[in-house]
Amino acid sequence: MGSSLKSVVLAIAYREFIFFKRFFSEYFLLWVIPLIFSLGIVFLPTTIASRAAVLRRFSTVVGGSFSFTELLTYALCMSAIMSLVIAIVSDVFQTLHQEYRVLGAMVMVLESTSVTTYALATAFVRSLIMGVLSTLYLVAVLPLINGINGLITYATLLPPIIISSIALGLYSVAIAIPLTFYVRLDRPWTVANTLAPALLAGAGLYIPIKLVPIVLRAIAYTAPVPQLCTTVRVVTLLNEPTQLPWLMALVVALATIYSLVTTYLGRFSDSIARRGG
Amino acid sequence: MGLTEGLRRFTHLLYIGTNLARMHVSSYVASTINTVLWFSIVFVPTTLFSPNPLKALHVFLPGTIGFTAAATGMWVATEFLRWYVHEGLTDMFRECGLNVFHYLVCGFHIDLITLTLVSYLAVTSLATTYLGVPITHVLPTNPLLFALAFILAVPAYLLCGALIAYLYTVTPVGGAWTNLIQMVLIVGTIVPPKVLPNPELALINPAVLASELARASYGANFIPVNTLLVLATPLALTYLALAYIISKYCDKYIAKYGIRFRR
Amino acid sequence: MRYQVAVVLVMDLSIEVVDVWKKYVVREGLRRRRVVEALRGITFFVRRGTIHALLGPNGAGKTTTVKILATLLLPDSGTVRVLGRDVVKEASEVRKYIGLVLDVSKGFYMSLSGYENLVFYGLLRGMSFSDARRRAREVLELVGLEGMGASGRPYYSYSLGMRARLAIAKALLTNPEVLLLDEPTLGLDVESARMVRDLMTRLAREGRTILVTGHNMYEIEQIANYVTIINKGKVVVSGSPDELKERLGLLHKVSIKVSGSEVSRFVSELRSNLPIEGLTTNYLGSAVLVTTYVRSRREDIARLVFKLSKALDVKVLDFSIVEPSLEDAYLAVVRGGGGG
Repeated sequence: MGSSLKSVVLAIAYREFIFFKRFFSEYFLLWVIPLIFSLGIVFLPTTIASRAAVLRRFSTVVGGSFSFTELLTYALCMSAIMSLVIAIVSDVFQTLHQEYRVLGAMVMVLESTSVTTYALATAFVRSLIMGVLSTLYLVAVLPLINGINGLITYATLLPPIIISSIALGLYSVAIAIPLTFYVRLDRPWTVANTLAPALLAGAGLYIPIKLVPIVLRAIAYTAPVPQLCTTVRVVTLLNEPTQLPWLMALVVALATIYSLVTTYLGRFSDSIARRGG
Repeated sequence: MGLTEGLRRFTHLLYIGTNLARMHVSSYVASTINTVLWFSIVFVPTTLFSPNPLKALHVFLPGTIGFTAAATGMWVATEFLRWYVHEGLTDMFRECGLNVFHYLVCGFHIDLITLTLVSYLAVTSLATTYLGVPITHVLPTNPLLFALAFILAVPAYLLCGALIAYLYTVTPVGGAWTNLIQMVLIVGTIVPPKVLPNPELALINPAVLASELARASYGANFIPVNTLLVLATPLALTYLALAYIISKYCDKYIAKYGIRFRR
Repeated sequence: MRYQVAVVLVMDLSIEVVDVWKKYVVREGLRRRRVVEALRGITFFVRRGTIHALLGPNGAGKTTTVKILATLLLPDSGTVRVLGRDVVKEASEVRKYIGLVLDVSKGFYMSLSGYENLVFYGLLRGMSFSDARRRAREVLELVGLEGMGASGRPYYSYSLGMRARLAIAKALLTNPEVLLLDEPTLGLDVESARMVRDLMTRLAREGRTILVTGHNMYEIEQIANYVTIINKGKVVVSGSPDELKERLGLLHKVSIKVSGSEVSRFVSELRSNLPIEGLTTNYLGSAVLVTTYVRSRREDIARLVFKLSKALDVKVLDFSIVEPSLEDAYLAVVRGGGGG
């Protein structure tokens, strides 16, 4: 008996399954709050103007001519990106810090395996599970708006969601490792809670990224969020699925870079942790 | 308690809150940045998708004054009855005869200046970047009403904090509920009272008074200004009294039944 | 070093710690750094199938030593072997054979139950899902958490005693040959502490090696076969409890309450005529209580005291000779400046 990547993956999957059951209310919030946001963005303007005028304005800003159903589908799918980013970025970061600095649960990990193996397993398993679960509500909501096409939209978006979740998980771990092991932060959640909205704001989310100030845009481009937003736009508004392979190839390339960074930093972190850092 | 003693206690609480804030400057900075970022995620598209973006800005953004004040109060109370419990700090305050109301009073000045006012100014400045308008277009035309809105955000902060404290004291609900309940606060604040059959009904939400007065400072209110001004004093005093009474009740309940551990 | 090689060859050793050094760099503010030498060339050996206690004051280096053995920390220099395997070069091998209790009050996920925490740990250690579940139930039964109905409750609801039991259950989950227990009875009630001691004795009888640290000398004296005392990062003394007491004298702690005008001379005569290791004087009003550890026969001590009481202007008010406890021995060694 000995630890391998497989056993670490299994352990994390087991733990995530329990956390999902135990903290279902928090997942529920991850579905409800971005849903409210997305509906707000669509319906708030209609409180002071007509729906047709809002739709025309939306079409002008985004570029094209769209129906209200398309607008709603688009907004709901963007809310899913919001859920995904919040869930993965905040949670991966904070959990690693909690395990190492607060709970002492990292001892179980250090007894069994290396920081690198654990970090990579966390990035894959955690992000995959959270990415799928945090966007699961689309399965119910999209068909309500658009019938069978809604389900097709979800099925088309699911693979990019999975790939981007893993990439985002690797990104979050790559940031979390130095902030957990190399420095002592009193309030680490401030970083995690700021990074998620910075990535979302910088990607534009509901608006084209070209309208976003360059500073925010630069932050967003360090993560795969802009590519995921473009994917949603391509699938729900522009109906150009041929762009998807290129977008996903870019995300995979980013994921490769993040995993290399994670592996490199993880080795030093293991050394730091075992030297008494 | 006499007036002098009351004032002394009040300033003492402000002193405690100021020192607590000094220990957590990075948190306040991060929270302010967070608020600005989240509002920009929501409000920039909302205003851009409106046929008249500037009008949309005058309608939706001032609503955040009341909303952020009330939501902040809720999170402060959650902190007192959730995270502080783990660290034994809640009992430390209670040992000194302080309950959640006092804890709210401690920090209201810092919270409202940073998380409400500074965030508001930052978001409006950021919005002008997206809209391509000068900053003078987003300044309130009636600064007195705006100042009054800010002052009336205080009772909303205290009352909403006390209400959440009651929820956490008496029921076993988890911390996630604060997120959900604060969504209720958006009706009348960020979502204008216009959506209700009678806009005055929105005043059931303690945060609406401050939001509507802020909107009135831009001339974009939905409840008449005279109604707001007449109701300001009685509502503010009612909110303060209710916040105090509810907090006292919470403390008695905790003394009798203890505080639950909550994640 | 030749002696140490001989020791290794002759004895069946589970743990070998040879000339281990370890320092920490502590940051103070932005620029200042302070170096703390946690271990300064410690050497000791632990025989297979024994309970070996590692004692020392706070900050002596006990926990650092345990963490090095558990492969959680890397030594700066020296050799550390567990069951013949080097903890640095063969860390993953070493981990297969050890079970660790580090901090009984934490080290688990708050929201998972005791059972779920153990299953998670088992999976992490490479057990199959069914093995992890079966073994988790077994060890929870062994430490009494199953009987308390606590194994399904979340960890945050556990008392300190229950947390300690869970920590020990975790250490036993993989059926290790070597157990490293850092203060396993810290803060426990009498019943829980007794349970832990009985369990340790039983496990040692089964052939496992146990290295335990602690401050409760009464407890250690009851269970430990061997003791190593470290202070300020150095080994002061090592051996069985009886050997340690013998090194401090003929197992005698002498207490003499005297009064009179020549008390100081009385004390200095004692020092000159007896092989004393450690002497303290406490003033009790007009009398002085002299407490000392003496390497002499009981009769020789009594004869000298009687002779001095006659020769000098002192009156012996009270006089006792007792065998020192492990605690007395420990205090005498540590207060005597051992390891400084």
